Amino acid sequence: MAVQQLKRVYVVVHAPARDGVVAALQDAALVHLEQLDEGERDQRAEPLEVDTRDLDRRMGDLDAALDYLGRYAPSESSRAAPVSRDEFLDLSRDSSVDATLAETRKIQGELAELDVRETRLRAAIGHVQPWRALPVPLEWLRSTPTTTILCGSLPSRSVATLRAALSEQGTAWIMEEVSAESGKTNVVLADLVDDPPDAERLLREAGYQPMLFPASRGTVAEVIQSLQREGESLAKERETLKTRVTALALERVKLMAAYDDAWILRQRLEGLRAASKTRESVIIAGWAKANDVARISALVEREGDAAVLARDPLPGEEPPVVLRNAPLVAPCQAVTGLYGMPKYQEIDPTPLLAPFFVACFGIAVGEAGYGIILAVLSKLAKRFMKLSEGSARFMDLMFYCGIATFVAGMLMGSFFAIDFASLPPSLAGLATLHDRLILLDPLKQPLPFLGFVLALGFLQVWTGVLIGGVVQWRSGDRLRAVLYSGGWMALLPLTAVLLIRPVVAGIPLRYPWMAAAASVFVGAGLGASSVGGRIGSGLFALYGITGFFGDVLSYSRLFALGLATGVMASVINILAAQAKNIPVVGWGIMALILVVGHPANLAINALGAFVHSARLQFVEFFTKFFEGGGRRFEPFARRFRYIQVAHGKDTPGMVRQHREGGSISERSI
Amino acid sequence: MDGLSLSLLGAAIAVMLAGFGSVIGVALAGQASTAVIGEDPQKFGKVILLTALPGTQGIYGFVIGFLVLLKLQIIGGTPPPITTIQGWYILFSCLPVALAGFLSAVHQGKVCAAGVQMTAKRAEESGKAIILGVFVETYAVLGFLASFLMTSGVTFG
Repeated sequence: MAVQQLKRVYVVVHAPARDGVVAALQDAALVHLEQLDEGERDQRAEPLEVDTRDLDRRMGDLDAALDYLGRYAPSESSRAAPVSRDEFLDLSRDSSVDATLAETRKIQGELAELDVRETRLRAAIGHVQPWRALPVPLEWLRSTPTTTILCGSLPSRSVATLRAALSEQGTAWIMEEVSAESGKTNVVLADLVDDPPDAERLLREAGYQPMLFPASRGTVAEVIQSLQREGESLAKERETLKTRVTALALERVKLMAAYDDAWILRQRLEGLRAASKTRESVIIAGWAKANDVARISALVEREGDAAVLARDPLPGEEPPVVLRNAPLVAPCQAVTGLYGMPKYQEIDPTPLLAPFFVACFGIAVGEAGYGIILAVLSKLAKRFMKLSEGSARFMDLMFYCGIATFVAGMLMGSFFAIDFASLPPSLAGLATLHDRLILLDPLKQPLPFLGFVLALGFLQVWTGVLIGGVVQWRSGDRLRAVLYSGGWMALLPLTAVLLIRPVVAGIPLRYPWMAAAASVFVGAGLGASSVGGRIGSGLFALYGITGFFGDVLSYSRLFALGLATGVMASVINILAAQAKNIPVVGWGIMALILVVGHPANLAINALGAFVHSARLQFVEFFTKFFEGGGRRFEPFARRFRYIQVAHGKDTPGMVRQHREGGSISERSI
Repeated sequence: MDGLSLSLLGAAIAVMLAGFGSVIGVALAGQASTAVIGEDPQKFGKVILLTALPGTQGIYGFVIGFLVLLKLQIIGGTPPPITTIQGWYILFSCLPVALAGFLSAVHQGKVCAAGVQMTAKRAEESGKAIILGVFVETYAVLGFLASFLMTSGVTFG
């Protein structure tokens, strides 16, 4: 139960064996890679250059294709169903991957082109649409050697003016109005070529804009018809392409596997960035759990010319942190992890916070029935769902929290907020049991209950001070540990008692209180160099008692949260009971209210209970002894993005097969 | 105004103001979440908690309102005679959860919206954003507690 002991390891490999060793390390997932630092590096060793551009390109292509196919995929999920590692390899190395990729790209291109063509088509139809009424074929509208024919539009209000102006000119102009809409009139004009050019000026002044017809034959209506036919054929083409791409989308899993395969290879190259090379060898440096070193040695030596050197961390070094706790406590690592890792030299707060966290959660939900649901659901989830290690651990934590909630709920007398007093006489035994178990009903005895949660808070804060003292003692600052932390440990309970009863057993408590305060005052001043500094830091430390006061009061939230759950639960019951009176459908509505209401209430309150309990650990408890800020131990491993490889389905030959398939080419390094 | 009306006004204020706060808070966080989900639908599970967080104030307000109704025996009974003074007492008792709930929900909504944006960049740290949101909620919890203790102190008849 602690921060696990790590060793600095150096894997020294003869260059030709490098790829095998790196792959083996990645498969084993035992080493947290970390560059040689300046002090460790020999002048002859230089960082290994790694080029991942090829892989990045391939991953980019696959990603784009997956993204595109995802729109046509039947299921929403972007992750594939779990497969075994063998299946994963078969999928990722499937010969059709590249073909699928190319086909996807082709269809994507064709569909994009189709979009463009359809847009153009719509624009073309829109362009000639106003001329639909033109009865003559378009080829008749071409100018002849003697006649000019113009088609165009002008503002409707200027039509009459233009007509007047043209006839005033005395030319042979003919103007036919074809159609008019939204203030524009479309006209066809005919004139003899010999007429004076002044007419063009008149047209300009009237706001005339020429119309350019497509180079088609037939009437406008015929042209539109043919364009529409073309549109239909485009739509058909689109359907065909969509069918093809939907079929391709079913092959997505292969691309996913190929992506993950490339990604794993890329991770391997990334891992090599932490390596250094000399003329003949490569040195991969990192951290490993002390008890894994032998395994790593065996693994690496099996790959060929390689050896593992290991040493303990040096005083100045900050190894990454991995927590190891007894199975009973380990689930609470989820809470610690939320805050951050302890430093390597620090103590792991997980076992210390575990009982408090679970108790806080239990009180904050405070509903025995909900506790059962929570415990059962978490067990079922762990049993029937494929969970990552972290999620499985979280489910364990929820199981504990469910049990705590059940216990707290029984003591608070709330079981699905059932009103036991109003049960039929045949169930009187249950009511008696309920009355016997109940310790404090927060609705009927709010103050004693509030006192209870504050007492819990006091206990936890005091424990925090105690741990802080132990930490200080171990760090060698023993005088301060005794005076300061010891002083607080006496001062806090004395203050609490003093507030209630100033005299206990004939002894006025203010004397021991003053002694404890003096101890804190002196202890806090130990570090300061001047007398003034000592007094200042002593007084400041004593002022910290307000902080403790606030810390303890902060636990009152547990009371409020627990109360809220119970009241909401009884609201749901009342609503359900009233719904029962509705004719015909009453029972159904009642069941619906109960079945939806209680789980929703549980979900909201479990969330609240979790985050508030976590906060109590982080703000009220950790501040007494814990600093945090360590780096998480993240072993060099294969990580998957799309594919979930189910554990326990391994076949022995697979690892090797994968390594051969995915060996790192010299080109990419 | 008679005591019963004042008491009901108090219950109504507790439910409404705390509810309004939650409406605003959840809306703020919800808008931020929508933007994030638009970019990456996979983050839905992460941002839904942050979006729901400012919703609790409304529940606190409702619980106080409900307790007042229980006390007035409007639910399942006939209201006892309530003096005007007692009515004022109930009305004042409802104010802590109403006002602290309203303000804390709005501001928690802002913190959560920022948390949602952070989740867009670092999904694995969303738990920390939730904890930061809880800091704002503390004062709604205290308001709830004060309202509860105040209402539970008054007796009729």
